[in-house]
Amino acid sequence: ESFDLQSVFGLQVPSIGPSPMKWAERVKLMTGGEVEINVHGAGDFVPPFEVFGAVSSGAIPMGFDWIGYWAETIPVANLIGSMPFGPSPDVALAWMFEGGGLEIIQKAYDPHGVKVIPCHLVVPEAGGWFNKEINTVEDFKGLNMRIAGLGGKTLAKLGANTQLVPAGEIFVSLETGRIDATEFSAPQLDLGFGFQKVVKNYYFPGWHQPSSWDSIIINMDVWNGFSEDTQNIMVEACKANIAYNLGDQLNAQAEAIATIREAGVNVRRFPDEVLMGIREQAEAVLTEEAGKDPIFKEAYESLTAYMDRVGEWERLQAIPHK
Amino acid sequence: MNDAYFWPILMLVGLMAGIFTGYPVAFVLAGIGLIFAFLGDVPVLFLSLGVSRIYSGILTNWLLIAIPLFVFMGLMLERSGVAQRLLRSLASVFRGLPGGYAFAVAIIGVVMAASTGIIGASVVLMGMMALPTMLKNGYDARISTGLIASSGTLGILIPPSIMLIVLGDQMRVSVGDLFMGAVGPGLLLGGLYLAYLIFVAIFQPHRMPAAPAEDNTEPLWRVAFALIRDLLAPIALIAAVLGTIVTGIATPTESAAIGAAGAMLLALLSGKLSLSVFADALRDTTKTTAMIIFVMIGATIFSVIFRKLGGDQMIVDAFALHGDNPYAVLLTIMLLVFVLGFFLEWVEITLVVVPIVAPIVAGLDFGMTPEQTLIWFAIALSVNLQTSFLTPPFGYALFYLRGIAPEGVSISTIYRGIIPFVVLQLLALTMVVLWPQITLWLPAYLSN
Amino acid sequence: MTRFLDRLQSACIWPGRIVGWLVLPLILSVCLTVLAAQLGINMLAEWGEPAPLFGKALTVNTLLDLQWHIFALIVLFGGVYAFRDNSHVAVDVFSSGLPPRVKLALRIFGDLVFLLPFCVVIAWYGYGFAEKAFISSEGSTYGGMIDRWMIKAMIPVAFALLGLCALLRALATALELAGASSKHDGTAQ
Ligand code: NA
Ligand code: NA
Repeated sequence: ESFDLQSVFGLQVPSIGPSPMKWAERVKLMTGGEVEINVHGAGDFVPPFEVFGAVSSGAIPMGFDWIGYWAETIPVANLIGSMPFGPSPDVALAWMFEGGGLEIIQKAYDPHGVKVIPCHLVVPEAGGWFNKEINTVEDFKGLNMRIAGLGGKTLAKLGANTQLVPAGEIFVSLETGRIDATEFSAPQLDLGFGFQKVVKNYYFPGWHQPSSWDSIIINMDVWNGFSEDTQNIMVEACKANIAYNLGDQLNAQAEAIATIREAGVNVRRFPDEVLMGIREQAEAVLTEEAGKDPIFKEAYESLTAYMDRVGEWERLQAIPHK
Repeated sequence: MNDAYFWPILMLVGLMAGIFTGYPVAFVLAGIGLIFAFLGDVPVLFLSLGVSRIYSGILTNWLLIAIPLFVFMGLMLERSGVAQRLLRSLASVFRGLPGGYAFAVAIIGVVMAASTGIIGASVVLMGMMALPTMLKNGYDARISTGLIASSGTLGILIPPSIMLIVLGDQMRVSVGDLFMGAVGPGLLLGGLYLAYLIFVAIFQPHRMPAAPAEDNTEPLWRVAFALIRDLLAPIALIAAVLGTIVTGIATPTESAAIGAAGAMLLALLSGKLSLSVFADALRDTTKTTAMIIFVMIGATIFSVIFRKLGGDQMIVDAFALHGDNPYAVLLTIMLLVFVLGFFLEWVEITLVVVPIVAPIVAGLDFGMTPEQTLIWFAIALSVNLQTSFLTPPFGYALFYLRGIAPEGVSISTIYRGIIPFVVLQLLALTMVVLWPQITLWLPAYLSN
Repeated sequence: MTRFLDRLQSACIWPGRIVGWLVLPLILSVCLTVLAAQLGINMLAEWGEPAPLFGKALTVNTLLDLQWHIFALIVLFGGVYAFRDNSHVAVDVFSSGLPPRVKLALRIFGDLVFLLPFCVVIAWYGYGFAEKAFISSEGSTYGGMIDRWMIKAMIPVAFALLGLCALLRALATALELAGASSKHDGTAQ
């Protein structure tokens, strides 16, 4: 049997592009060729932002997404897509599959008739490209920055003029100074946009998104039509995909940062007191959002409790830096 | 022939037939799409994707807000008489010469191209401004329409340009470098058009008669003075549009609003702006914008069903290239893009073809760095894609021009008028391919 | 009868005649965005009670949303207007030489076979599309406009109007064709 899957990414984009194809290969292999999934790139059937609706209605049986894309319809997607000062990738992985995360999220997808399988764990993004130095939280005041989601809301509280510049205009806007700063993705993807040619400061850490999830979404009727074996295979294929992609991403970031540095960019960290200042605002934003949606609240509370609990393990195991 | 190509090919044939019934292209595209969805047994639910594509792909595309703004700017320039005055005084500089008006149009075409990034608006503006006057002065309708369509299309190549932004995004090369790289080829094309006009003026002067004698009596200093005076307003406007982009005050899209506000101000100052003229301009802005966008709406319906029935596979297979001579591979790609350009829109070609061919080209050795190769290839591709606006049966520039041309200018006149200009574009493409320096000198010069 | 059909068609295009005026707020709002960026401000105004479409504040992102909302209205209702006025682009290379009656017949064919089904499909699925946005109270998550269902609902409305126009014109054309042929029969006798 064969099914169409549309990704929200172009298939040639590094890492996240080929990810659903690798998953499809695994599913085909593990089902002995019984289930074949034809992977299509961004825009082939619908524009990226419409993939969820199309899977929900059944017009397309499957999709591959960045979970945060669906925040306008499913509030909790904003949290899973990018939680400021959220979990590191290993903690995110533990919470999702072993700490009850997936069950909470699936509740938000159920009313839309969509099955979600987290399938690609994204490493922390960069903190962003800034054409001036950030030394205190005051430096955010009046800064024109392209940053989406909860991170954008956080910086807006610090007085930044945060806005959504379409991907195609970010480079020009940075080059001409129409915007002063942007975050986009991890170094591996940022490199392709050529920001290193026009901006001098590349900041870390990616406080707005210490980890993130891409997922396979499947129309619930299609999902229910699969045998239990096939369903299990699809989940296991995702876990294999996550393991492969984590290694692949780490491998690529180091290389990308080296190239960016060679282009004459200062690769640096936000000062700790700046990060503490942002964190305070981020927690206020998260609490506000939790007040608006019960599933967001449940996931937020579960995840922060989980981070606290395993936090001790990390602290116990921490080895001082060289 | 492969059986899998049955539906896509039949669909293209059906589209041709539909277009030639004379029914509006936008609705034929959508209608043929739906008919074939039915014939090809596509699940009915799949059609719901049409709504998603219209909403998310077109209506919410913030970049497109530049279209009504540029259209409105053009209408204001036209209704205020600013553009005609410039055209007239430019033309009177070439007074007594056959083709004077045509030179003026070509020059204005380049100037307009530097201030807008989209094609529809500049063709429409030039068509409304210059075409009636050219015809009234006894110009051959073919050369008039050909010149307006092709010099109006320069806007997609000369920066700012939406096409270069999309290409940069797709190929992951710097949009700034692409903008700079396109300047040389854009000016080259403008120069070729002028050279051709001079050729026609010398050998076939009856096709572009000199302006009537009574216009020729003014002394030259007064003509020059008038030109400078009439240039002030448009130059101020271009300075405002380009200037706000270059200084970082506005993005290319936002600059369209600055241009629109500026043109409205000029119209107010000219004293020709009555309420009814203004209301008229707003209504025309609505209809022209809708006309341009509805073709995109029709195309998006057609293409999703074309894909579903295997059309994209057909195109991918066409690119299953082989051969070890890099220029042979390049020639094949360029030929295929040119042929696809007869039928598809540049967005479709860019989105389907570029991801497939860019890695192939980046891996070929043309004696340049991979980055230089990609910039050069992207610009050559842009010149080629620009031609797709002009090649029948689907030349969007031709459709837009037909949409606003006076009664009596048929689409077949326009089809025939465009031929010499398409030949010139192919010549420019060949030069851009053979001499990469045409593209690369400016980015290289600026980065030093 | 023909005049009645004409009047109905004119009723369908009145939204199209109004939306043109939205170009002015469009220009204004883009200029405001540019100004806000110069001044480095995001929040332009804030109030207590949530208002439909705009929520509780006017931010730069509200303006960006407003801009494409206006664009969408111009396209959708302008499309109906342009249809009534025959302003949509058509290729008349072959058809311009055909006899008038064949041209009229082709027009009916186009209205009923190309345009009408398209309008029905988009209006039908567009309704569900808007309804879904209403139920999930979809809105901006970055401080922009809320109530996405309102702009989405304009899709089925505009395409229903367009389809109605197509149907009315096909009827009027059929009447014209019938009238012409009966006259033609009369002179032949
Ligand atoms: Na341009
Ligand atoms: Na063409």
